[in-house]
Order: sequence, then structure tokens, then C-alpha cells
Amino acid sequence: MFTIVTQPIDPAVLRQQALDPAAGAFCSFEGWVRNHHQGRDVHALDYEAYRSLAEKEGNRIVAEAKERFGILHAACQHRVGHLKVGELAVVVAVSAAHRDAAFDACRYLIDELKARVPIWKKEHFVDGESGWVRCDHCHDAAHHSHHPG
Amino acid sequence: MIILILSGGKSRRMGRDKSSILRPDGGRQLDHLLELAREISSEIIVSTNDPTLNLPEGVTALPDAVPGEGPLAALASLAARSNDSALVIGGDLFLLDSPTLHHLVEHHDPTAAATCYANRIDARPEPLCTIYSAPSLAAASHALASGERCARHFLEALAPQILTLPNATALDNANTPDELAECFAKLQHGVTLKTLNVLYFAKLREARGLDEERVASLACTPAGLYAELRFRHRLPLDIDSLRVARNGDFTTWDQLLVDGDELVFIPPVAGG
Repeated sequence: MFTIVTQPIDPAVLRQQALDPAAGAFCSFEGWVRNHHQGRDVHALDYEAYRSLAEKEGNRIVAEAKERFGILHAACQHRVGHLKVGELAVVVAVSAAHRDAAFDACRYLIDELKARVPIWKKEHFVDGESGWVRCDHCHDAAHHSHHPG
Repeated sequence: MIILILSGGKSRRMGRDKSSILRPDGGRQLDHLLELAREISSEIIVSTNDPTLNLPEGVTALPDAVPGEGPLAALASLAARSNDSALVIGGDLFLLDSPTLHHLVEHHDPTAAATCYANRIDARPEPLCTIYSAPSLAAASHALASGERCARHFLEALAPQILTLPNATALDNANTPDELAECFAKLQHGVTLKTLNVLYFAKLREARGLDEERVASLACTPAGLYAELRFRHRLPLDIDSLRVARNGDFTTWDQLLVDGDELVFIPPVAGG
């Protein structure tokens, strides 16, 4: 399950959702707002999402992870709005029978979520400037198809 | 009057010479333009730097004196060999039709430095379906010498006679494969006015200054709609950097739009 939230994310809630008597492994990833980007000091980020499609695409990615890695549960949340340094932007929580599947699915989920889900972030730098971040490792076809002349 | 068709050369973004592209009916774009030109005049010249370009009997090839300098160089080359006025036609006008050319010729003021159409979106003069007087053609070489490369700037400086297009989309051109698909969709499915809902996010939302609007559009596909919006509002992102969603899910740029559709142009994403 992937959801867009506007309130602070509680990782314990996602861990709770992954609990399962058949699970022998749990793996989670937390994406935090850090205070620097490409050598510049960052004091806050604004996230926005095209919510309906973000959740639809996010849930497709969750279904793919379950199919590929045979995991038991995947609970993911991405927060939108104004986030300060240190706050949680995204959390992925995965349970599986064994650790390999949990690690691999967790990695797959965060990578695909970052590359495919319509969420954008604007960085606010300490020097007063701001700018939209361009995902630099997107691997979907739209970014490769043809280059401007 | 001479007809000068600009066959240009290899288009960087299309990856091929646009006048050699085959139209939905199977005919070559250049042959479509030649057919239209013959309705107006028997004196037809094709501006091309490609010696292998296949031209029919009676049609003359005119290489640029200085290749790679764009349409103004073609005008200058024509002026160097003729003292006549000329109707200049861009090779990438896939929607150009007979009524548009006849309307231009019939309403042409012979005393004007140039007669042209207003762009259907920004109303500025369109330089590549335009009748230039002989002195105006001769002025192209002076403009080139002074560093001008933009045919539209050159035309605006001539203070042209500007007509309204009888068929609004007749001068829609194509610089990318997506825009070509839009032109072909207009040819095959016709041009109808649609009302569409457009949502804007992130960089596009800021550039447009709003997050949602209803848009009246003549576009057939999302690519055509984005081209209209980008031109009208000077949006910053090239179509090649975007994805598109229609009615809540991702789609391709060449899907046919339906009245009432909701479109979202998706800038490069950056979650996490």
C-alpha cells in the first residue's frame, strides 16, 4: 500500500502494518530531508504530488515488488508539503519470509518510487534561492526517447 | 509570381528532411506542396542543398549561397537570380491547403512589402507562407549581413500586410515526431474545437501561474495541446522532458483527445 500524506509519517505505524506470523524478516527505508544538495546548504523542501496518479503508480510498484520478490507486505508513505531538515519525506517498510527478499524489495520500492511517481520537490537554500529538483537517475522511457534539437 | 518551397535539409529534431516525409495518404510532403504550388504558378523553385533530392520535370533546385543559414539565405539566393516577387512556403507545413494559398494570393496587396498570415495563437506574422515583393527578397541578404537569422523578425521589420487564416491550423508545423503525429492526426481526424481541463504541477504550475484551467484547443493529441500551451504561455519545459497523463493515468503523446478530457503534463519527478 502506498499513500501520500500531509502529516508527519510515523514509521512505527508502517512497521505495524507489515507484521505477519509468516514473516522472518523486516526491512525499512527512511528518506530524510538533508541540509545540503550538490554543495549548497538547504533549510527546507516543498514536496507536491499529483495525488491520484501518485497513489495509483505507487500501488503498481508495490504490486510489482510483491510479484518479483514474493514479499508478504509492503507499506509505503510519502509526505507532501513543507518539510524541514531532519523530517521524514518517505518511508518504505517491507516484511518477507527471509531477509534477501526484504532487502531487495525495499531497494526496488524506493528506487522505483523515486523514478516513476509524480512527486516533485523544491529546495529552499539557505542563501534564499530555491529551485525544482530534477531527478537525475530516472530510468523511464520518457526521459530517453528523444532529445531536444 | 515565383513559388519558392523551402525544402531545407536534415531536421535535427526530426532526424530527417521534413519535405521527404510521407504523408498519411502515402505521398511525399514535398509533392503535396508542389501540387498546391502548381495551382498558383508554373514557376516553382525548391530551395535545397541536397543534390540527390528528386524533383519533377520543370521544377528548379536552388542551393543556398551560404548553406546552413536558414530561410533568409534561401530568400537571398532567390533574389540573386530573379527580380520577381515570390510566394515562400516552408517545407514543414503539413497542414497547408489550397484555400489558404488561394486566399493569400487573392488578398495580396501588390504594393505591400510582404503579405502573410497572423499566427493563430500569438497573432505575429508567419514568415513561411508569405508573398515577398522583389525588393523585400533583395533585403534578405542585407539582413543576413547584419546578423539577422530569424525569418519572423525579418518579416516584422517589413511591416507586412497581415491576413487572418481561413483555416486556423493550416500553418501548424512540426519540428518533432510528436508534433508530426499531431499534424497527421489533424489531417486524418479533422480539426474540432475541444474544451479540456489541464492540471499543472511544480515548475509548470509556477510558470503558468495557476494549478488548473479549462482550455479551448484545436489539438488532436496531448502533444498538440502541449505545443499550443507552451507557445501561448511560454512554458519552460520541452515536451521531451515531460510525461503526460490523461483522465488520471499515464498515456502516450499521440492518443486522440476527447472533449472534456483532463490532461496533466508531468515534469521530471523527484520524490524521495
